[in-house]
Amino acid sequence: MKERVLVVDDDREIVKAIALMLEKEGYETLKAYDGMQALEVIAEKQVQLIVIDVMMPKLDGLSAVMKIREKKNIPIIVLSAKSEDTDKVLGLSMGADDYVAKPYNPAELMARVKSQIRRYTSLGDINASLSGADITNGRLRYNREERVLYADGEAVKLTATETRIVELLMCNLGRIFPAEEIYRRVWNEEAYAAENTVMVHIRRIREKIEWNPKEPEYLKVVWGIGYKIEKK
Amino acid sequence: MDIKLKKSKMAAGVVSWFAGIVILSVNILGMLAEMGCYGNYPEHVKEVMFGDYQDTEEFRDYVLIHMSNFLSMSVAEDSTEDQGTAYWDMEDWGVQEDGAEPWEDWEQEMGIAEEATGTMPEADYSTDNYPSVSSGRTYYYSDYFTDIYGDRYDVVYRDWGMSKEAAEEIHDRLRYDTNILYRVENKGQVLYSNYEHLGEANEDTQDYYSADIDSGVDGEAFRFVVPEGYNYILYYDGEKMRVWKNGSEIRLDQAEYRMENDWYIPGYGNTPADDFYRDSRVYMVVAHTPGIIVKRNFDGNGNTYYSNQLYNIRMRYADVRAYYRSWLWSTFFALALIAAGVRLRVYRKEAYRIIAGVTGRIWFEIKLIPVAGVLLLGLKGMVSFLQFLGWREADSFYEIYYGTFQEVFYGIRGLLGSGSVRLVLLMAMAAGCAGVLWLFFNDIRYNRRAWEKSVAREAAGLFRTSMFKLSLSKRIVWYSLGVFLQGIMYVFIFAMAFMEIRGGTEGWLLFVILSAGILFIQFLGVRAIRRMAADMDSLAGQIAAVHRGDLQESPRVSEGSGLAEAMEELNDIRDGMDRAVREQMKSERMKVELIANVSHDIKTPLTSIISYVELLKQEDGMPEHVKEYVSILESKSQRLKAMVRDVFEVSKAASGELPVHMENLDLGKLIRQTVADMQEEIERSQVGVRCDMPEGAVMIHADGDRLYRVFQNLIQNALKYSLEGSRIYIHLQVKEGEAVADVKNTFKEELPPDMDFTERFIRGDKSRTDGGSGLGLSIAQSFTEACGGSFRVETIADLFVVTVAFQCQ
Repeated sequence: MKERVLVVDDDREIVKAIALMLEKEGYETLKAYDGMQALEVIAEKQVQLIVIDVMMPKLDGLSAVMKIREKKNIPIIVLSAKSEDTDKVLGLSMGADDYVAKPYNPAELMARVKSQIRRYTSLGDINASLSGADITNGRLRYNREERVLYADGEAVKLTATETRIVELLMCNLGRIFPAEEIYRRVWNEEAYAAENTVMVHIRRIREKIEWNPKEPEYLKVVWGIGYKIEKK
Repeated sequence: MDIKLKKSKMAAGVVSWFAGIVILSVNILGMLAEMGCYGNYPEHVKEVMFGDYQDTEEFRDYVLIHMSNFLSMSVAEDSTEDQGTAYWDMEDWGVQEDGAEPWEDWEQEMGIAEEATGTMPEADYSTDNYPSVSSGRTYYYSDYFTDIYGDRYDVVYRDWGMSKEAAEEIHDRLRYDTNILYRVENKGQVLYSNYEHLGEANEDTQDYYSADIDSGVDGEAFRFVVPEGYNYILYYDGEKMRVWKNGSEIRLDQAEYRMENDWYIPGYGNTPADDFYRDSRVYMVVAHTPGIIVKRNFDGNGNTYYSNQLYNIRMRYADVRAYYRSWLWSTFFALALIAAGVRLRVYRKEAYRIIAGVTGRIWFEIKLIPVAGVLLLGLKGMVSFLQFLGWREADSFYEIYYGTFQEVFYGIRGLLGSGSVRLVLLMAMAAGCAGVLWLFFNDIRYNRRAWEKSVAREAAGLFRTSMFKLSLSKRIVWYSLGVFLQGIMYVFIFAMAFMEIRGGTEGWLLFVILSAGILFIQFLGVRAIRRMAADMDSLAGQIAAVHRGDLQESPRVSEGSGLAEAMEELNDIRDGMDRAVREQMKSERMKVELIANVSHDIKTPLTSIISYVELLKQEDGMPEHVKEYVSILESKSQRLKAMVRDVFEVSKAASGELPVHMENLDLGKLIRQTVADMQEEIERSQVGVRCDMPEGAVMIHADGDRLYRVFQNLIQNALKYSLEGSRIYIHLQVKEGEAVADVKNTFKEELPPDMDFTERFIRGDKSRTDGGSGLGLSIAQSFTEACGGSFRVETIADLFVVTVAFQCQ
């Protein structure tokens, strides 16, 4: 069965473009051009995901999200031209599952859609396979016995050094490690030019686990202090 | 109504009302004063108004003394020392004791001396010829007489008898006085007489004027020989005294002829007849209208004295009576005037206002002078009055005199004339005084703040305006000079006071008044200086406030302080700054809003462009050149996206609305991380990066994400514009508690001079073709400053140096 995604935006071209991209990825799409229409569509049909714009006539995106959340818990990705942190927080607190700023990176948007649908539809499977060796953080899961990192349920191919770095950071979620400490623990040597070496690896891991490596969500640099994996 | 009539009514109203009040007041005051002087005032008035001068106590005293003398004379003996009684009244002869008798009005007597009715020649009574009353056993009067006469009468009391010599001398003195006629007999023999025919009428005396006298009580009839013009008869018949007046006998045991009225006459209860006088017969008559008779020179110094006591008594009596009559008439007149004034009160009020209008134009001090004069006069009058009361207390003898109120003006009484004339002058004087006071109070009543029209005030105003024109510094100099001058004045005053104080009270008074004046002036000066100091304080405070950037407060300084102008200008500057800051903030906010809106509006179509470029990219089977076009579209749309973001952020940072998350971090580590993060970019470029940083941590307080963008932009910028093959030097050091990081690179093109690189959209090459928003340095500067650091760009030849500095933690 094909997952059905509802795309809501008052800009018809954007709706069309997103729908095209989603269809290429193999999803079925529904379209709406304001909040009221979106509510009507949801009332009539089964939908697995909603991508909704904030600034819309009749009923704006955030109000629509609140209305939807009164009845359903389908994943919602909010799109907004406002990129301020406060707007992001507001959107998420209204009940949205994810937030993407316009102009978005099409590949990133697709990745987020996939992630949300997977979590929604196969949640039971992921939970079932959880064991004591698993550390789950958002869409990342690290199995300490297998020494494998899963992103969106798929195993990420990491080198041995990268795996050791990931293990250190995943086992200490939210803790900031200075480059020197990472170097000592991973390489078991005295640190020399630690910053450069560590940074190279960090960048590579990012490219493998982050949707947009330039704006990482999990593996973050705390400038002037060190590195960490953000606790989700 | 006719204006002339109205005017005259106004004048009549004022004059009559005013005159009436003044006259009535003077009369009432006069009456009260008189009442205070006489124990039995109604009796006194009755005596004055309905009797004659012979009804007065003074007259009674006069005749009593003479009668007593005559009785003594009737029994005078050649060599007696111890018989009889003699009274010697020196005052009776006009001998002055100390010249201070209030009733003796020399001026008055001099004025009418020419009217003397007597014909007696001036006798040669030198001091040598004065009766030698002190011979023999003499005593000054006893307490008994003191009680009766007070200390005014220098009475010599001789025990038991009078010498013939003394009797002769008394007779010698009295014989020319035609105001009294007498005949003194003993044992049927006439001893002394100035009118032989006086006595009981018989056949020998029928040629002379005689009068039938009523016998009085017992029906006896006497026939007296009395010359015309004499109406008061006294007769001692050897047992007792008998008195007739105007042909009727006076009951001496009744009415005023009693002991309590000081009537001590032989033959009555209080003074039993002495056996000495058994054979004495004394006849004495008193003129109805006594005149000036005697003019003598007693002291040999050319001073002329008059012995005219009877005349004086009559004149005083007439005077008082005239005064009372005038009093009565003037009171009626005053009541009539007041009635007229009441009728015309409407006009009067208007006139008051007009008068006030006239007086209002006069300086207050000038009005004050006459008022002060009147008040001083009144004070002096009060003092005289009190002195007079004290004096009266000690000397309560005489009964008829001019009255208390007049005594207040004793010093000028001579000028006032007598009787009604005096009353008129008195009233004129009172009217003058009252008029002055009335004008003053009328002025105050109708002119609001009458005292403001004053010389002092105008002088003060003149002083103040001239002070206003001076600059502050000059004014302070003047104030100090004033204090200095006051010091000098004080020295003078001390010197003066020292000299004057030795002189008496006036010196002290002068000292106190001048000191008070100077202290007052000093008080004013100190107050002015204190006010100025307060103003300076508030001015300084305001400058500090403006300097702090507190642009709200608006303190004021007092008008005349000389700092008002400076304060006003400062407030103008502050207002200008305030306005500028507000406008700047407003325009910044508007700019941010505008940019936010614009960027939002750009983002929506940009989203479509990016989306469709992506779709286009995924199309298969496109020719190579189309693929190349699409990739150009993609890169340019990405650049547009970056630019929109940068513009938004830089505008936010510039308006101070960039949210920052401050934390303590190691600046060296941050730079190392940034360089590491950009390693790929650096490797791709033709430029090397050299870092020179201290080993230890350089801790600062800043927002790491923002600061990362700062150094990222600086390094990107350096990479972009550096000469190929050259190196970028990043240097960090701690200098004077500051973490100073600089990024130096050699520019590949010649740097244009005087260029502000941090200005937005400024680029080194001006071509605007390569990637980047042109906001790199601008963002770096905004973010640095948003984190509390300083940002500086300088160029040395081709060397481009950016310095970022933060306070170390």
